[in-house]
Amino acid sequence: MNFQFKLFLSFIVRDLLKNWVRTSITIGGIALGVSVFLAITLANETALKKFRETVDTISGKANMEIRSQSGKYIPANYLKELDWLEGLGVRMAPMIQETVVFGSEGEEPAQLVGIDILADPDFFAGGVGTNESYDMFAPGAALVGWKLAETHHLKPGSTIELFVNDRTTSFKVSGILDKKGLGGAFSGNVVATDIENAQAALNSEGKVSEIELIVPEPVFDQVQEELRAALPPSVIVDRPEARGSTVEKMTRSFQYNLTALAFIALIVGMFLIYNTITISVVRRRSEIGTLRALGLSRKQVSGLFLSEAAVFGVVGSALGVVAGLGFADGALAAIAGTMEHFYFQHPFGSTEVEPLTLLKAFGVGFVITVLAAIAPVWESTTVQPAEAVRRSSYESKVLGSAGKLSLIGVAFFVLGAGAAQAPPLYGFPFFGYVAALFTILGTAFCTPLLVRVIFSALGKSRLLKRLFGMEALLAARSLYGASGRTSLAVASLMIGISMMISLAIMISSFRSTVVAWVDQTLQADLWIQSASRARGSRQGRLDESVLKRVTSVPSVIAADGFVEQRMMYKGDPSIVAGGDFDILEKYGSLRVTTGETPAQVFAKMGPNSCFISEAFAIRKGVNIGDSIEIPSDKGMIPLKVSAIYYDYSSDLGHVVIDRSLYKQFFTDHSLTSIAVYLKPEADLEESRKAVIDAVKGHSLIAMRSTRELRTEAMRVFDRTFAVTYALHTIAVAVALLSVMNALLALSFESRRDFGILRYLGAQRIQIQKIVYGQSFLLGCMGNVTGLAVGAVLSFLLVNVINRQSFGWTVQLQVPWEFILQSTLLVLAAALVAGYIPARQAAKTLAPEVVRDE
Amino acid sequence: MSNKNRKTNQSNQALLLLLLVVAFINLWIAPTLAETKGYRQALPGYKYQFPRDHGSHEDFKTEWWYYTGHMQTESNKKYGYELTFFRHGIEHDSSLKNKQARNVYLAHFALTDESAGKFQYFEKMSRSGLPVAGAESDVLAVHNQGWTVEQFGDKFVLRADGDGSGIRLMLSAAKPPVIHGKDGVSQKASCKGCASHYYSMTRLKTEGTVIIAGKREKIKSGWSWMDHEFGSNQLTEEQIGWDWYSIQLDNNTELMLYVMRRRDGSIDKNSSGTIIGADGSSTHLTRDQFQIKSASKWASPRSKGVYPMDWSVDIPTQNIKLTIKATSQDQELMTKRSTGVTYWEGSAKVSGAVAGKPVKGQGYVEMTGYSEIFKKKI
Amino acid sequence: MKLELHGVSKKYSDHNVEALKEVNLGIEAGDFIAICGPSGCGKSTLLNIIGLIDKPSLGTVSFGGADINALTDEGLTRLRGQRVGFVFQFFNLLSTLTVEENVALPLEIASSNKGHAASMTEGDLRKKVMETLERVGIAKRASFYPSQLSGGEMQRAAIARAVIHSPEILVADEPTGNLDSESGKVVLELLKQLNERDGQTIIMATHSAEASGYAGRVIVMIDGKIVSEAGSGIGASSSENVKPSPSADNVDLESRDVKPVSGDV
Repeated sequence: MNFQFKLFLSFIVRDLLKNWVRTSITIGGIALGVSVFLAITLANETALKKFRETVDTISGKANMEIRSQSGKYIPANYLKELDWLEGLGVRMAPMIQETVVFGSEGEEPAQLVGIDILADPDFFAGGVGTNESYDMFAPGAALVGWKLAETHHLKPGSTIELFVNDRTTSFKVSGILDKKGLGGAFSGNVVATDIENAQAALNSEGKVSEIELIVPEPVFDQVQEELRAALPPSVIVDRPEARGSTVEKMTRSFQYNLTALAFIALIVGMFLIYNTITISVVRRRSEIGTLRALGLSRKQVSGLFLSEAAVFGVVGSALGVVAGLGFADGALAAIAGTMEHFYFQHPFGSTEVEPLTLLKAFGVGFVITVLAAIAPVWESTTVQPAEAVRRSSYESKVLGSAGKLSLIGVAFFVLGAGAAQAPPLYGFPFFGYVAALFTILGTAFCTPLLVRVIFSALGKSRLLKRLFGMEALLAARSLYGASGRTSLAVASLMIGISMMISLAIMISSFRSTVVAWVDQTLQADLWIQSASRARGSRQGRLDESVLKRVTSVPSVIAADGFVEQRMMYKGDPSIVAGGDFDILEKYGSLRVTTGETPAQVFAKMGPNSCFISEAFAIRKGVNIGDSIEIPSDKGMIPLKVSAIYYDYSSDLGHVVIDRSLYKQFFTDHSLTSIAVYLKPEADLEESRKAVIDAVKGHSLIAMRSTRELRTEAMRVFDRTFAVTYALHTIAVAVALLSVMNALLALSFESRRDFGILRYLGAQRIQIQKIVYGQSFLLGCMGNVTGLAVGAVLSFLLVNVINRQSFGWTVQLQVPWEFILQSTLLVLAAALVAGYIPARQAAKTLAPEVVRDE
Repeated sequence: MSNKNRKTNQSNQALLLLLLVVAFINLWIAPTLAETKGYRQALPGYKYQFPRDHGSHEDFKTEWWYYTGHMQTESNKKYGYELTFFRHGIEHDSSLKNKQARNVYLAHFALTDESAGKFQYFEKMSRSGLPVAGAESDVLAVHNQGWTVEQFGDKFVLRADGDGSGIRLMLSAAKPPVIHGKDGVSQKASCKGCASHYYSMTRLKTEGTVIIAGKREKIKSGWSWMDHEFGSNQLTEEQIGWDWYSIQLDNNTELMLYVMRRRDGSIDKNSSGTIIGADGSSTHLTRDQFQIKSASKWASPRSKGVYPMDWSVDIPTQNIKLTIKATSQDQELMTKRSTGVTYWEGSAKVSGAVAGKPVKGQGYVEMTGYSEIFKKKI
Repeated sequence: MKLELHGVSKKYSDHNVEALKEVNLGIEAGDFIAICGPSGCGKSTLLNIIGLIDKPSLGTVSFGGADINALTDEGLTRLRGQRVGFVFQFFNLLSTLTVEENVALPLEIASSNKGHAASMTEGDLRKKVMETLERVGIAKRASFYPSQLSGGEMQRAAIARAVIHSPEILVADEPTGNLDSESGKVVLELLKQLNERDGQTIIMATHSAEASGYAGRVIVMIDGKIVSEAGSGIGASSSENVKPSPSADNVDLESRDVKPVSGDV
């Protein structure tokens, strides 16, 4: 056996096993960090991957597609104009699709896909792969995906009911699609039928969602160019994969921020490793000195400690990967709701494991561990052989003086303040996160000075002695004496607490802002949407006729038909919305950034004026008075921005135009929702019934009162932030592990003092009190610094990171109650963390300390 | 029928074949009553109206526009062509919102290079609901993807392409439409309604361009023949195929003969023909008024079907004796993609005598139901 | 002459104290030298320089003709590993290594530095370790961890570790400073035996008069200077002249109790 390896086993591994508590804590910390990182990465990747797979499946061998960038559909007539492509060897196939809701009671979105089954079998991933004989041509006949069939026990001959917009439609199952081909799209939640059947069900005769093309690659660019020239600018001519990048772009902010949050646990874990290895090195200075005296080279010494870090890295990351796989489905479920609500609808199911992602997560864990170990490993090489004979303190020497470190800390603060001013990088608040990191690092570097000043003062404090007795004073003094390690512990705790506090402040600020916005904005009495939308199809619409029927109800003063339509603004997904400006002016409420009243805003508006949401303004860099152009079915609409209004319903950004203008430029006049304003004397419940009666038999609607809608809005909000909560809980858990780790080390090294105290007649209980005193003081110190840093971080999160990511102005709101609770929790946790060391310390016998290192 | 297509490796193709075999065979074989439900029957007493009847008849289940012709280019090359548009109704009386009929559109295009003995064919398949194929109902305007036939006044414009070859033709009628059969119906079997409405434009002056392997050649002279037939319920299970002959003679008369073959090898008594005089007048021929014999056979190396060749036609009542010889033996279409059936449709040379006077002419012969594949499908 | 110090001074930058002042010393093979003096007199510093742990600030040290000043840290480390053995006041056994493993360290380090050519087989190594442990009389404790040994046993293990690779010089810093007098005697006897029987050169720092009595040469230091050298008459060859002491043969090296295994420390 190689000597270096032998020494690694006897010198490092045995020590790790001997100190198994600390080893477990450290490994656990890394494992937690890696697992969270992996779970979030897998969830994010799966979401996009499933979407991309579906696009691939549906487009089959198609390498080009034509679709609208301003609406759901394009006229099928384009096909006629594409005749000439045949001469170039281009094949094409149209398709229509829409998210519908399966089942009369369920709320299970499914994709209705209408294809031309006579099209070339190279389309639609080799077509409808099934052995059943069926006849999709029959009216009302459809093939259902394996997943739907499995869940609902469908067989050929079964009848299924679908909510499509504000109607239901039924199909007769003529076959089950297996996982191959089209049946594999949308994770098997698909209803495939002939395009004519689908058009009829969607009330969209003469329209298609997209035209898929198989273009010979040599003429691809030429065809694309000619098609772009020939077709209206509102039409996208691109490779199907472009859809994946659009979705990627759309969800980037959300996903990156999630990953950044997941990284926090890793950063805290990094501190934990730094802490552990540093302690390991300083604790074993004399042994290192002995080894050096016996002729071990610096390189060999550093190799030993690097291998210790590697053990943490490998074992922790491996465990983290295993745990991450376990958490991944939960993480996916947690983000699925948000994805579907804000970005795109797709059944997500369970995570798909990409071996490369596992490797990446493992690699990140390992690299972070090794990076964290660099400083202590370097310190290990500075140990002189002479130290073998010296009784050195357990203080780290590499850190240098507290004053010098504080200067570095101040430098970090200055750089951080600078970074906070920087604009986003590719739409991602990179510098915002840098500022946050620098704030943390700055504080960490200032901690030693702070610790020295504070514990030196406490060590002399008569007040402390009077309040908590001699033991507290001794605790403060021993913390002061070991200020290097105390600083590490405080910094660890500070990081964890600051994360917890800042996230809590951010969430609370967000929530209170949204509550205020919802209260102020939702002024109508009743809200109508289509049954399918209420049941989960985000794109489900109401027929325009509903508006007239609702308006005809006597107790209704006004009904504002509102439509939201996804569009591409300069290559970025965003939303164009149409609303009735007259009603909005009279009855509505709009909070604009300038603080003007709605009346003032409308007074300034011209015929082609629009409002834009704050998210649109910030993320697209558009301002009041600017001229913009948005795509429509009838070409680009030139618009002038009259006002920027607050909106928290989407981070994609809205451009709101008057309904009459919308109808002029968009062929689809259906509505997303209707806001109903009642006469002041009208009874809510009676009016509600009257509205239902008015549309009965024509349209299936879902209606909510403003109160219900507010509740719903907050439910969506809380669901969106659920992941954030989970992530920050884990970060706090890692931080607490770090504190425990630091306390363990601290008490271990105070054993000599405890031994002397025991000689001097101290009782076990008194020793325990000292250890608990240390924990308590550390907890307090961590709380104080953590709160301070947390306040700064929350400012960065709310005003820099969130603003750059999502384009929302959020009013800071401090959740005092939560902060008080969490402060107490941290103190309690610190005391719990002191339990093991306190027990150990109490057991300390003086002679052992004297004799045995 | 579905069971017969399991072998195809690509399931989608199996599906297509399945559907289209049903569709195409229905062009020729009597559909069951259920399948023709809601469709109109071809019954005696139908009154033709032109140009309305050039258009589509969506209330009948099946319909086709059949163009065949012979052309000589300025470079003195001879070509024959076939351009056929089929419409097959899937659903007429439906509860669907769009009350329009739902159709499958098929089209075949074949080009015979008579000088080189080369034969090429192409096919198209489309469906209603998309603006890629369709037929106007009030005027002759049929299209299937890029292939079209359209009427402009008294002219018909044809266009079809495939693999670098194509036709751009303008046809002018030298004679009015000829209605086949009796009382507006061409009986195909003995049952009631087992018939079609069938008329022809037998002499269409043909001008334009033929494109061979990307090279355009101007047509010096040419004549085309057009058949337009629609009905819902034509053939019976007993009928396994037919032979059809269209002949244009240089004495400005034309001849159409239609032989229905029965499973037992006999000739159906509803087989018939029409003679068109130089003045455009027409004479109906019954089964017993003409005789056709074949002098040789040609076996298709691809389909293994054995087709009769070198026909002699004898119409004693009219004192007509003709021999028909295919310009090239291999003019078989195996329409895998669209119809999945195999048939022979080719240009032919005609010679003989009418009332003792020698005549020459050209024609097109169509033979269905000879290939094994076709038989199996039935 | 094996090791020669010439005008050696040592100054620690962070203390601004001159720990050694122009010390001259020659050490011959077979010498057993005790360096005596009060705390802070420079004993340890001198020992560190002799043990190749430190380099002098001024002056020259030649070890077997090699100039120490000219060596890099790596060279010094290698030289130290091969030619010097150390015994410390606090034993400095590695706590996570067994006695056997601790003792084997110098050989293993040396072979790892030289590469495989010089490395011994596993069996040879073990044999050598056991032999050495026999020599110091704790062969039965080979597989024990240091925490399971008594102080005297620990120091004997440390001595075994210091001599296993047959160093030219054995440096012992207060080897009895942390032992009771019984154990101290045993250790001193052992050192003497090594010196007499095997001709091991030993340099020992001590402030115990009893300990210095075992040495052939006694050097007294005060304030970084050698103030006297006594007992040069009691050379390595004439141990009988020193005050009576139990002969090595009479010392029962196995008699000391094994300290009970301590709890979960």
